[in-house]
Amino acid sequence: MDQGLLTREGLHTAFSARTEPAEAGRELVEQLGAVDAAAVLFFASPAIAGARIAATLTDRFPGVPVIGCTSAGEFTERGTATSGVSAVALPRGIVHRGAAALARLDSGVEQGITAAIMEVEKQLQVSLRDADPARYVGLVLIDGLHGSEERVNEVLGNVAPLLSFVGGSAGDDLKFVKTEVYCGGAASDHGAAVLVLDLAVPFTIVKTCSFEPTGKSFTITEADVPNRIVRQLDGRPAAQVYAEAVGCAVDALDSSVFMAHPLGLMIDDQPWIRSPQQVVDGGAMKFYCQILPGMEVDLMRGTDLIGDTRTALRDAVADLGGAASGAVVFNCILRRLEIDAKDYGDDFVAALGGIPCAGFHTYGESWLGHINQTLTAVLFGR
Amino acid sequence: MVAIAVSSMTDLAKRLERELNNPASFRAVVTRVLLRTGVNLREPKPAQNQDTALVNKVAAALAEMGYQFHG
Repeated sequence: MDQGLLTREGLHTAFSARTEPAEAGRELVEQLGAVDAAAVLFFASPAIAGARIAATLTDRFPGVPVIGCTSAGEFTERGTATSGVSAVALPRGIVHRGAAALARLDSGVEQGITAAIMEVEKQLQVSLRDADPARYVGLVLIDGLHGSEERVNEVLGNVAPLLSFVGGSAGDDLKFVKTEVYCGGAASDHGAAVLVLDLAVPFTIVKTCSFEPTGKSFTITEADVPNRIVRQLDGRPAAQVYAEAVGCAVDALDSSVFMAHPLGLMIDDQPWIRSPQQVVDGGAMKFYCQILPGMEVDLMRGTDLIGDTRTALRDAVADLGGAASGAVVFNCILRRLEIDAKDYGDDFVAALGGIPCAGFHTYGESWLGHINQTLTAVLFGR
Repeated sequence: MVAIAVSSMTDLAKRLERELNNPASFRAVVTRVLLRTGVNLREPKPAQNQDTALVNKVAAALAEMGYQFHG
């Protein structure tokens, strides 16, 4: 453990590689240990019955909000894996109290999220719109296959524009068949689990990606926004313009090119990544998140994923005065694929700096909006 | 569409900044607006600044978040 990053008791974290839910749940409970928890989160491979993990943790922590989701890989500060389950308990010394609700999105995102927020506000007896954004923080787990993330983040922003909701989209180990989110005893494959924490310590948000602008930029001139399709860049077929910029033929565009060269919406010199998924409709490009007509985006190139992650977390700890008690971390599946391809698993874990944390590899990341190829996290101070 | 009297992004930004009266809050809302509209209220492009349709679009995004600017 890096003693420079952790100075006092931290979050309680756990990991189980067992796929039988009773055994996995038992291991998690053992590892979480004796803790007076204010909230619990877990992230489970779809190979494990997540609802049973939720039930085990809810039984162990009665009256405590428990949220979770399926994943595309799980990790703690001690290791990263697939087909397991990670969990974290947030002690009352760090979180005064928490409240959670499951938003069901089948009847509309606005309706579902608004109802969930009302439930959270009722539990906390606080108007989230008026809540102190330096004291309250939200975590949100969104199902990863319905493309609702932009709207979920917008509605959260409408309800509580000053509050940070940080999170990720549930995964299913790259099967793209079904993802689930959990809240207490409830589960949904088209929903969002929302947890709001009333904190006893300072916190900071981490958002890091490993890209820099190439100097080539484009304006979106035609897009099918709801379907996350960009038809034209600078008035020409998107795939053609993109292929010319990266220096290859349109028919050579594949996932390796897309992963190496996403587009970035630059905000204060920081990229908010939009990752291409595939060429569609004979020359348009489908992305993993929406890009709007009129937006100017930069073509990006990769930097040092491990080094950038380490630096971002170290800077965040410094922002908190040099001491962190733990983190909940959301890391994009595309970053995991790069980590896997370069055999960086141990380096990624080392980059977490020994900060007690649990997280998962996501189908998208959330903070103020929906983003790709990024790591988002809530880092708790002391 | 929101009926507004603001004539430019710069004007809209000033009103928002005054309303929030907190740099961190202003930064958060401006980022939300940018992700929804593509307009950076802190540094609007010259072509965007007095584009009435775009100003109305940004004002509408702000109104959704509860920030109404009617002049």
